[in-house]
Amino acid sequence: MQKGFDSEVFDSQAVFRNLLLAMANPGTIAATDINISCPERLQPGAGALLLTLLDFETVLWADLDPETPEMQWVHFYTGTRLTHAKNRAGFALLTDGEKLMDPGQFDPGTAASPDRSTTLVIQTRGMDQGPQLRLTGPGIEKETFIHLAGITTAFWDNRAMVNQAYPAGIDMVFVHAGRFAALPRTTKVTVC
Amino acid sequence: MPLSYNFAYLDEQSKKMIRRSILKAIAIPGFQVPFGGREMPLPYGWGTGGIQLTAAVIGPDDRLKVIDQGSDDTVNAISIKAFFKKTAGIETTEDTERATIIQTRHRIPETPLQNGQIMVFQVPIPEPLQFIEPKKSQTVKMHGFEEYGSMHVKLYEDIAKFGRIATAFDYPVQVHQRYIMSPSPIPKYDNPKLHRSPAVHLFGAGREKRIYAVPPYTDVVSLDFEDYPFELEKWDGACAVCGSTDSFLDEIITDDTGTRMFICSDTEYCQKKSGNTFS
Repeated sequence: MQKGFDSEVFDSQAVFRNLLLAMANPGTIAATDINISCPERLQPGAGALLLTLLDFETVLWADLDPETPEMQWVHFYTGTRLTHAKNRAGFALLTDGEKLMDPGQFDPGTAASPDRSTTLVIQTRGMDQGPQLRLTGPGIEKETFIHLAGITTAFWDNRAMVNQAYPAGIDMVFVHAGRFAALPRTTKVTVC
Repeated sequence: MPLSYNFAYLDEQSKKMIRRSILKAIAIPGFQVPFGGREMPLPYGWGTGGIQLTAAVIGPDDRLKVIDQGSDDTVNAISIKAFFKKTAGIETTEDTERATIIQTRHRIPETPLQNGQIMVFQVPIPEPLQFIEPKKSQTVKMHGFEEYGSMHVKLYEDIAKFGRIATAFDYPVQVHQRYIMSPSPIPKYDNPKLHRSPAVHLFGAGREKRIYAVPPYTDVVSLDFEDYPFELEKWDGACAVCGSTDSFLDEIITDDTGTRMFICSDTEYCQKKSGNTFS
């Protein structure tokens, strides 16, 4: 089994703090300088986020088979439960952003309990290339821009449809290598 | 750091659970996220919600400021600082600009906050609709369907009785054009500081087991009427210590014949303004 966090206490705190600020300032790219060695198909940023967020109380859906070294690794360090049902998952791991599906397949929560929704962790092929995305909404002073390589325009259209049901909606964290950026449901995305 | 506690007192699983709730709270500004509030080694009403938030967020490099009614030196503030010094070994400060996390009981510092700073509010009653509808099952629906008419009726009743909106603290706000939220019992004087603030504002209610948040640069509007707009408190005089005319003033009775003076509620701001640096 490959190594998880050096320190469960301090590494998870550092990752969470970056994630908190990333979620509060959508489009800001946060870096994890955590020393972590994940199995091949997991990018270190995604591995660090999953170890920070998951435990025996969470339900995870992933686009990988439970028998893969990646999922064995996640399960070993967190004890999270796994599900095959996308609309029952509290968290979802998508290792290949290019095969992204409609976020409407996941659970957006309800008007009374919008917090009971799926949070997506999406691995991308880079944050320097791809179409420019203009972001507005809470956490953004005026507007900000981000690139997410490999995420299609159709995906952004579907995301907008799901989040129309605000306060219900889907929150997302995009990862590349050790970096990540969060897009809560309140962020409006325009493909430039 | 003593080894008898986990870092910042809470166990790691409790922190994870609280952290997940914080993320949802930030993603849905003003929505009260239920969380599995833990028993803390102090009574409800002393900041158990705020302490759990701080414990879930704080790291070894943080500088923690704690205020109680604007003061750095009152019992609740001193005790909470001592708690985190003991359990997390972190540095504490009274300097608003240097603090990375500011836990507060009912004031927002006068010194403007910066992006990256985290405010943690101790909340006694998180539900702004509680005095209109005591049933939690009903208020959840009212928030879900944005059924907020009765909140305006309550403010209208103030006008009918007193000729003005008499609510002076815990003055209800609407966040991101959606949720009506209790800003915790801060004076209404502090409400405008929440509007499009660059800092993150986290609210924790330990007894009610609710977490909610206002992310940076988010609209926070105090409820009012076109003909009775939201108004701030004003004072005729200035602070008796530092001479400030643009801060929230406390009235202090100085003898038994009714002599009184007004001084800044924010002690750190007052000290800086008057040139005292005994912090």
